[in-house]
Parts: sequence; C-alpha cells; structure tokens
Amino acid sequence: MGFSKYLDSKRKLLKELVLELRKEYKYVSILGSDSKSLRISADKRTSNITDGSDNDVGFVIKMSNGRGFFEYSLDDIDGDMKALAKKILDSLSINDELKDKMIVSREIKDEEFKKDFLRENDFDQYSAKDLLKSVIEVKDLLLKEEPNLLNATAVIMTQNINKIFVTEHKEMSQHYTWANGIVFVYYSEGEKMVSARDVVYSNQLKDIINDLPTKVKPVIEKAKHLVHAKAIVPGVYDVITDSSITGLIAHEAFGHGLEMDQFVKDRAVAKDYMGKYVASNITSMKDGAASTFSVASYFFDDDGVLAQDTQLIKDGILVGGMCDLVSASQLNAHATGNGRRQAHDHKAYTRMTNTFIEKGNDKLEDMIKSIKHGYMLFETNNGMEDPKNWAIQCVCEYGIEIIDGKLTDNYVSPVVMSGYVPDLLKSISMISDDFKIIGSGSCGKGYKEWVHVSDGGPCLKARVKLS
Amino acid sequence: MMKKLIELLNTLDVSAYKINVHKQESFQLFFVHEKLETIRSTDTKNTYITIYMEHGDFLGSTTFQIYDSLSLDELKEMILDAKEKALAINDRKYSLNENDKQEFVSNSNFKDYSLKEMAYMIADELFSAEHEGSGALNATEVFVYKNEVSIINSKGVNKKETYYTSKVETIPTWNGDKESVEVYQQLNFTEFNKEDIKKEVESKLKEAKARYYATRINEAIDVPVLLGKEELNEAIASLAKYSLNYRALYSHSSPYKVGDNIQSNPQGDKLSLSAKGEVKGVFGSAYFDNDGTTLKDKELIKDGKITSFFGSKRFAEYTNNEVTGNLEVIEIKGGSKTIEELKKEKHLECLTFSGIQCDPFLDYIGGEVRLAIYFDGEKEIPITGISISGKLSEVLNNMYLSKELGNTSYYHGPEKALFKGFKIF
Repeated sequence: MGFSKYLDSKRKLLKELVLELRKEYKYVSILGSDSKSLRISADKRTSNITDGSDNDVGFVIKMSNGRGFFEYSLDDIDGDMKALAKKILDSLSINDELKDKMIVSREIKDEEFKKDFLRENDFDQYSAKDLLKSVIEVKDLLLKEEPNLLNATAVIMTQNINKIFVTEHKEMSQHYTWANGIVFVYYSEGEKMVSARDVVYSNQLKDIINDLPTKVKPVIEKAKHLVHAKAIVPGVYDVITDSSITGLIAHEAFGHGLEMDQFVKDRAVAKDYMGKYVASNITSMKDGAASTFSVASYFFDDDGVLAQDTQLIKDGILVGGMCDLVSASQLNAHATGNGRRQAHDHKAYTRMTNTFIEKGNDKLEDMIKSIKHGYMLFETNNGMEDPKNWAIQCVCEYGIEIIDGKLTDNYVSPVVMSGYVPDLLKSISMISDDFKIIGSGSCGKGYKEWVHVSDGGPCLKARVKLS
Repeated sequence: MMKKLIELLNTLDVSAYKINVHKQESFQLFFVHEKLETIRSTDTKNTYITIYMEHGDFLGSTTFQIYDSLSLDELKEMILDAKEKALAINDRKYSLNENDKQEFVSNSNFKDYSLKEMAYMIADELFSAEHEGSGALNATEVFVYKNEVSIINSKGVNKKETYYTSKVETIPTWNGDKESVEVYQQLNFTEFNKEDIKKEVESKLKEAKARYYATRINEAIDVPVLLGKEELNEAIASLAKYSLNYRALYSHSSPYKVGDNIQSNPQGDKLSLSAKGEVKGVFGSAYFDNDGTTLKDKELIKDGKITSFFGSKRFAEYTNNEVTGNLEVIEIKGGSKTIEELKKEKHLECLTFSGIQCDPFLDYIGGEVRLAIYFDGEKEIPITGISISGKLSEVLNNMYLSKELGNTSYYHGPEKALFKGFKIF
C-alpha cells in the first residue's frame, strides 16, 4: 500500500496556494490529510464493519503575520487558487481591536527540504472480510473457553495514514499504518458482574491476527479474578507499577506538564524546575516520535517538524520539554516534533507522542520481595493531568496485594492513585530492567483534542496514596 | 453531488441506504492570557453512507465516509465494496424509519450575528467578568459553530436541522505571592446570554481564589459530601445513559434490568430520572437521532426503581421495547431540600475534581478532589489534596437532592446533592 494518489494529485495546487497567500503572510504552510480507518467487530449477537473514527480527509492552511497565527480548514483544494486565497483572507480578517491584542512571535524559518517517507506494511494483504473472519473466530474462542460469559467482543481497528506538508520551500509526505486489536468480556458470578479487556497493537495486521487469540485465556482468567475483587482500604502504600501504570505516571502525572504550550500560558509549574531534581536520581524519561517504535511514530508532525527523540528527565533532573511550532516561536525555543492535531479541522497543540520512563537495573522479583505490605498495580483505566498544581489522579483497572514479599490472590478494583507529582516521582526507589511500550492509548488535551499516543516503561517501585 | 449520489445508489441494487451529512462552519479565537494567539476558521462537510443488504434471514449493514472530491466511478466502487461488506454481516433483521420528513431551524439569537461577530461578543463578555485584582482568565478558547445536519434514507426519511452552538474553554487563575493556582471551565451554549456567561465565569474565579487559599488537612474528616451538578451528571446521569439503553440490554452489558431497585433502602430522597430529547437551555438537546428517529422522552427510574430502558429503533426492536431514539439528555427530578438546608450541618462541598469515577459493576464512586470547602459547623475552610470514595449503592441510599435545578451540557436536574457514606482521606 503506497502513498495517497489523491494527495499526490494536489501537490501543484498546494504550492500555488502557498505562493498566493505568501503575498499577504510571512509564513504559510498547508497540511493535507487522506487518512482512513476501519473498525471491525464481532460480539455474541452482532458484527460490524464500518469506517472508524480516525478518518480524516482535508486540508488546513496555517499562516503567520509575524505576530499571531491564522488557520483555515477545508475539505478540498481545487479550482482557482487566487479566488480561494481571497476567500481564506476574508474569512480570517479581524477587527483592529483584536489586531492590537495579538501576541508577538519569532519569525518561522522555512528551510529547503523535500522528502517522501513511507513505512512498509501488509494492509493490502487483508480485506475487511478477512479481518471480520478473524474477529468472529476470536469471539467464538472466547465463548468456547468460557460458555458462561455474558458477552464476548473482539475488535480490530486500523489506521492508514497519509499526510502531505507544503510550504514555499518544503515539501514532505508520509505514509504509515497502525492497528489495534481488543478482546472484551462481560462475566458474572452471583450478583456481581465485571468486564475485562486486553489489547494487542502493531503496524502489521499479521501481528494483530496472530496475537489476538493469545489474549483469550488471560482475559477470561482476569475476569474470574476481578469478579472476586474487593475495594481497597484507602491509604498510603508501597506499590509496584506494571508498564501500563508506569506509562500512565509518565504521561499523565508528568508528561502533560512538559507540553511547552503550557509554558507559554504559564500553566505548567515544571517551567520553573528546569535543571532541578523532580524525581529520584534513578529516574529518566523520554518522549518522541523517534524515541521508540509505536503508534505515535510518525516521520514529521502536523507542523512539518521532523520526528525527534527528546530527553525530558535525566537521572532525576528535569532537562527538557516538548514543543510545537507556535509555542517555540513565542518561547524562542526549538520545536521538537510534537505539534499534533486531532484532525485537519482542529488546532495543533503541543502533544505527547511515545512517552516512557527508561529502564533501570532491578529485577522485578527483587522489587516484589522488598515489599512487606503493598500492591502491584495493573492496566491503565484513565488519568487526569494538573500541570499547574501537580495534582494527579491515575485510575488503575486493578491491583494485587503483596504480603511479605509475595504476590497473593487478593485482587482489588478499581484503584485510584492520587497525590502530588513530585512526592510520587521522588519516591521511586527501584526500576526494573525490562521495558514495554503500550501502543493502544488515546490522549485528550484537558477534555478534548484526542490523539493516539503510546506510553510505558519498566516496572517502578514507589510509595503512593491509593483509594 | 447529493442528487448524483442518490441516482447511483438507486441503480446499484442495495436493499436500503441512509445518508448522514453534517456541514459545519466555525470561527474560533485562542487567547494566551488576554493576548490573541490564533484565529481559526473552518468550512467542512462530513458525509456518511450506510448500505443495508438483506440476505436470507439476515440484515447486514456497513457505514463509510465519502468526500465531494470523489468521482462517480470512485463512488460506485466504494458502494459496491460496501455491498460486499454488508453481505458478510449476519445480524438479525430490523426495520428502518419510513416516510418521515421534518425540518428544524434553530431560533437561537446566534442567527442575528455572523460567527465572527458572535465570537467577538463572547470573548468580550468573558474578559469583562468582574473579579478582584488577582484573578484572571488564561488559555481562553472560543468556538462558534453553525451546523446543518441532514438524514435521508431510501424509505422516505428526510430530516434536516440547522442549529448554532458555542463552546468556551477557559482557565480561571488566581495569582499572588505564592504559586498561582487554576481551575478548569468549559461552557457549552446555544443562546448568547451576557449575564449567564459573566455569572459562570465569576463563580469559577471565586473557586480559583478559594483554591489559592486552600490548605491540606492532616486530621480525618467524617462528614456528608456535597456534590455539584457536573458530578451528578458525570456519575448518576452517565450511569443511566450507558447502562439503561437497549443496546446494553441486548448485549448483556448492563448490570441492571427493569424492576431493579437502584436504591435498595433509601434514607434520603428517592431517585427519579428520565432520558429526554429536548430540554430548554440544555446544549445537547435534539429533535431526532442518527437514524432520523423522532426522539421521545422516557422515564427510566422512578422512586429508585428502574422502570424502563431507552434506545434506537434497531435495538428497541431486538429487545421488544418502545422506540425512543438515542436520547442524549438526562433529567433528574429535584429533591426535598433547598441548597441552604443541605449546607446547614457539617459537610464537605467538593467543587473541583480531577474526575469522578462511577462504576456500577464494581459498586464504586470516588475521585481526587482538587478543591473542597469544609464546613465544620461554624466556618468554611477551603481544602485541597484529598480524595473521596464510597460504595455506589450505599451513597445512593443516603442521597439528598436540592430543590434548585440547573443545567450542564447534557443534564438538567438538582444543582447540588448531599451524600452520606463517603470516606474522605
């Protein structure tokens, strides 16, 4: 599967429109998207093949007059570019009072660069009907394994991403794919009913089709444990986090505070901690589309900035942040390839990509052995950031009690981890020598602007408040 | 485009089809503090086609997006591909809506202004809200939309609605000698009302001030918890919306059934709750759903007992229930006490959460509280850094709803509710 023929056919028109708008604006870029997604699912009583929510076909024009920024989103670029340029300029004209209120920003350099990026994939080899067959088989496996399941669902979701970025001097395109598979069950014993899920992810459909059936037994086993889970007694505990919860801490507790559009708005206390200890001295953290390979491993961001590998925390010291083009122009910083949009009709913000804590030197079994009484925490449910005041809320699907250095069969669910970010990060006392990145995440900015992200890392030992 | 598309669909031997179109124009302003950073304008159209294919005892369907840039040959190829996909789906048969034509045009005062003018007016009102010297709005984003939604199907449904919406996101902040603090505010509305905007912003600025002076407490508190309408929506209304619909019933993913007592032993107010189509002043109000079904209000819970579910025509038929359409708004009946009465005794009023979690499967409700006002019987003390948690069944049995009612985007009901049974730590 190659790059979008539709976007290819627009290259000349895009350049023409850029040059037309450059007569009025100091900087002009156009991002075009022809990205398609599919959602294929089967449960006990229904099945479905439908376009997914990641479809995004259209264009966004971004301009700067040396002060503020102007954007216009539309479905297609066609016809007379002079007329279209006039329509765009009229649509974005503002009154004098607002003009006086505009920010002042640094000039954006538009350096010569041309490249087409393509990541090989196997999406051409599987039809939607093949994928439907696969999810029906997995759903049947779930019901065969445990006939008393109230319902069992298997899902495959695909993303086929094509983007083009054009300025006066730049022209880039990228094509890559990603897919997620999910198994989901409802199970009850007596009066109690629970749900459990598991995920697989890859840029190759072959992996999804092979890996999804391997989750059948674990997800049912998990449901059977969760149906007996009890509420946790609220308190402060020693905990071990699995990779998913480590990723949740990296992303939710700390990552959002290093999105530098929050620095521009004075909304992140981290701005004042550059060069200072914010975590225990065994803790290092990174973000970047080029930092590891996962769902957010694009070649260039929605500002046309190439993917990077950004060190955020090194040995406990805060050393860097993530930055989009607009924020970089206000902070006199460099853009780190973190400018991302939910879709062409949404604004670009500084967003995380693949965010993780780097692996350490400890063995997981030694970490568990070191705990007299505590919990091992598993699987992200959700979280909410507070970069200004560094409060955290991370919700884990479940925890398993540790007594005298051993994991028990005592499950607790749900588990809400809360507290003050520096307290949590500084309490990290052991980091395991393994590493896993979870490629099935989605992240909002506040309560909107959803983009796909990955996060993860090793297992951590820390001390946190649980409820 | 639409005429050619319908002609094409009529020649390609599909059992039925549906076309959903959402045209949207918008004007958007993004501020950093009170400086304007970005101006955005959008002009977009999303068109989705659903193809239905009857085969044997089954009905299969598939939905896909099309674009104005597609040629007729490309459209034909996509429809033929969709037919094949729909034939692979072996779902139980259900009927589609038939012969129903309606057009609704919003009477909002938005229509008297251009989107740009409306955005300016909203921004002016936001920044003119009264506050003391140390309060300010930051990261303010103003979105004004004109929406045209239409649904056509091959059975004679033709529905259209034109409406205006505005969304505002802003971060009321309190600055001072120590580290400044902020709270989050989102406003969604369909009518421009200066007084409402000012009132909402001023109220949140007061919360920001309270958070600035809030302290962490070390001693344990064991008092009833007072929650606001946002949390009542996120916890109780959302629970009803996602658990009491026909789809959840059909897929066995609801923990409830008709006749269940959601309050087994109510000591306070009994819960009565309905799903609604249109509630005046509520942002999420609608006349019809995604299938073109005219929405019909439905009582879901009466005096703590589940009386019915709600949902789309398809899942209503599957479960032998009345068709209500996919209702979006939840209305909770007011309670027995005024807010003043609810606040009379010692209590903890939770004003800002990281997010409240409510899980009927696990019988859990709780969350991290970013700002609360603790009334110790004599004085009000703003506190932060606490969490609450409880058994959902237990706190619902000990719930007192306010007589005063208010709205959030998809909720109409009590402004406040007092709960006993939460652990505070």
